[in-house]
Amino acid sequence: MLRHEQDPETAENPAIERVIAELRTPVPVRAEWRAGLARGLATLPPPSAAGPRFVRRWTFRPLTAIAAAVVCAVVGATIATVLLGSGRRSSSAEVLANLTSTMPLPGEHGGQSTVRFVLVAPYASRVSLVGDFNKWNPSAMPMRRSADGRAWLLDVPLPPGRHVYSFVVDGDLAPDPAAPRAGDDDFGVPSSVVLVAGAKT
Amino acid sequence: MSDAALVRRVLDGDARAFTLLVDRHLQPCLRFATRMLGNRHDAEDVTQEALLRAYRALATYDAAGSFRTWLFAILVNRCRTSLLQRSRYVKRVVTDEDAMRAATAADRAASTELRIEIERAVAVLDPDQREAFLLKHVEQLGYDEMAAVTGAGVSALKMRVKRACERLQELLGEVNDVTS
Repeated sequence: MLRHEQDPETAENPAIERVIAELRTPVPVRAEWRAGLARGLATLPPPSAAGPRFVRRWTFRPLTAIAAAVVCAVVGATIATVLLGSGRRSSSAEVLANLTSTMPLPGEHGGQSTVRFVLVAPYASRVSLVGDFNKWNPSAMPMRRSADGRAWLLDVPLPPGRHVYSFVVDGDLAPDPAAPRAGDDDFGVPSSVVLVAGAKT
Repeated sequence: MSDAALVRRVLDGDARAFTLLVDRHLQPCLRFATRMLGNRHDAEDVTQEALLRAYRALATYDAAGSFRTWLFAILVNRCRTSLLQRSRYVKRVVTDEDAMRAATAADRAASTELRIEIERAVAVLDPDQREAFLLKHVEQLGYDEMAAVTGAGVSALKMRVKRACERLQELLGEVNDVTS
């Protein structure tokens, strides 16, 4: 595996060569830890070639961001004007029925709050929810299609804290487009975050 | 069998093929994490987490690239997260239990002392410099691979390695001055 025993950049520096030689010393692998790793791998669902095959890298473009902000402001103002102008006030039941993004529902039970996970995906045939709370098992939490057929919903009781999750849409992992991305997702495992507030005292 | 072929076998349903990949890459991963974090237990946690994440995300590995580079990118990311989350590393000291145990053996005292001094010097390095130095000189990645792993540019990485070498020389020189 070693491609070179001595790097030309450090060849004339015996102190650094000594450091490198010392740091290259193999680290002992504890048998119990190795066994624990094997057990951890055994609990995971087998990875599938049908999984995501793309790595998306986001780049920040100031002009695009400004344009998007202006469009959002205009669309938001228009919607607010239409709703307020009609004198119509939505009841909480109507609000819940028309949710288009994931959010905790009011109230709590047994120290847990119910989070309604929502994904608008009218053309999907199968959607499930995966996350830290179900060990990323794609078959543990299938989502149900909404009455109008546009969205997929699932109510999940979760303890207070930060929960990382993603959707599996027809076998492909997809982050929640309406939620913040998890800062620590890596290498094309797109995931999102929902925060559940703690109990009020 | 190449790493890419083993990945293909795993994705085709032979989960045991991942064990072969683990056997190949476990030692360098654990070594990097240990040198980076300076603590065996945290290194084990981070390495395990990286390997589990790699297994879960195996379908995203592009066989055109090196599996080692792909795996190290995950590992480096986990090490960075660990360093950020655990503020005790801000004042990191060498607590390698093996080194401490070995220090009691008189016949190994000299080499152990050297090792502890080296680990202390590495621990003092800026994390970016330590990361670049370990990837370049200990794990022997090329600068292009390092750029893919760290997300930093090749010029910046070369500068980090250079500064790490200079700082290590300073630190170890100070130790030698004191002990001589």
